[in-house]
Amino acid sequence: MKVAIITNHYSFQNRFFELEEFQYMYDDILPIRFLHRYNLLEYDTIIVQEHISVFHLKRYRSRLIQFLKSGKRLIIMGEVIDGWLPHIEWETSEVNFSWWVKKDGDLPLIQRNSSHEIYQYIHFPDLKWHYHGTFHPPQGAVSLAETPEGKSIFYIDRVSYRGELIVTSVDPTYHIGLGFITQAKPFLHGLAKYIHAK
Amino acid sequence: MGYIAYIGTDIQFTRLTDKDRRLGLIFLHVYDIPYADLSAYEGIIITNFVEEAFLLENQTILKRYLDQGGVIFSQVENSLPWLPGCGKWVRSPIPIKDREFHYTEPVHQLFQGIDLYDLNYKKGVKGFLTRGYFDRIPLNAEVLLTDQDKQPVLYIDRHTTKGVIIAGAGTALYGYGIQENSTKYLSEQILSYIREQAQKSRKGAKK
Repeated sequence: MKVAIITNHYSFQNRFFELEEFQYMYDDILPIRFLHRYNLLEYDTIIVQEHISVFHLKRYRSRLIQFLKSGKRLIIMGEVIDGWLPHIEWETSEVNFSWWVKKDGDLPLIQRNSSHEIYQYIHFPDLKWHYHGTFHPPQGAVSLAETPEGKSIFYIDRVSYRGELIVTSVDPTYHIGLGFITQAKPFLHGLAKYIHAK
Repeated sequence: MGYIAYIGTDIQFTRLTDKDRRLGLIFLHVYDIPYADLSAYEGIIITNFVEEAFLLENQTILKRYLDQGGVIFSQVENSLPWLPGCGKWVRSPIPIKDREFHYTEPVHQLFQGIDLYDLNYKKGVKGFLTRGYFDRIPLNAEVLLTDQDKQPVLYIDRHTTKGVIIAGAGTALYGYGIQENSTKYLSEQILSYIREQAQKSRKGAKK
């Protein structure tokens, strides 16, 4: 399993890469600015870090589509705006970042398809900190976590492309790099273990 | 009213609102810096969503802008020396829940009317303003904000260049304000201050 992670090399992203505890997760770090220099097809899984320049994602979208069409796995975290990748329907939502300091506060999320193999690696409560938007997964995709309104924040799509597309609106590497909301760590370790097991 | 460039990559967090535009902000993609006429802007706000290596490659453009009397308000957690005189961002060893920010007396006009509590807590949550500080600041810089260990969090530097640098250690002050408390007008105060400084320093730079 060869894994690459696409980055914008923001300061907090660089600090994430400095963390040894996550270095087992990826083999190569690919800067979005120079994505044309890499042969993406040499990887089995590519992770798109959160908050990457949409301008550049649009520039290289054909290569990422080709990657998915070749049967590989693409993981996208954070927002997916401007429809930069087909078959992903994004809706921005107001972030509730303060639910946990309020008396009886909660961020209601519902686990879906709990028997899915990814939940052998990810503990559902670990993806609960906040999200900046939701998705409407395509027919046939497997939603894994939803808001009470039925909007997905985490799903797997094996129908739109020959490969596997994993999409989530939570932003773990952003917060781990910032050193703010480190609860994101167990979720990311779970995702990493799934990647390497499957 | 002069325009102020708001620099970052184009992501959800950096999209300007109608209000931002009414206040005179223009979004400038960080990778467009080499092709833009920065002198068209009274000031520049640099968000934390920038590739510092790219800014370092283009540091002479930023330096030239400053030497023409420009004003840069940086919100970056600096790790590379692209901003004249600025040190590196360091993560504070103080746990977020225990860390507190303090104004340097007298309270700077940038923070006029802003309750310190509202800078420390956003809807009851600590840690938004910044998790770090600068390891060093330029000689003669004016420190506006520190943490309880007196580490510099926000400073103004009028000496390293002919312009004005306002540097916050990852302090996303523009856009920090919320309607519910005294930070409501913080963004407007930042823009007013940038414009005021630009008018003064541009006159000085021409001399």
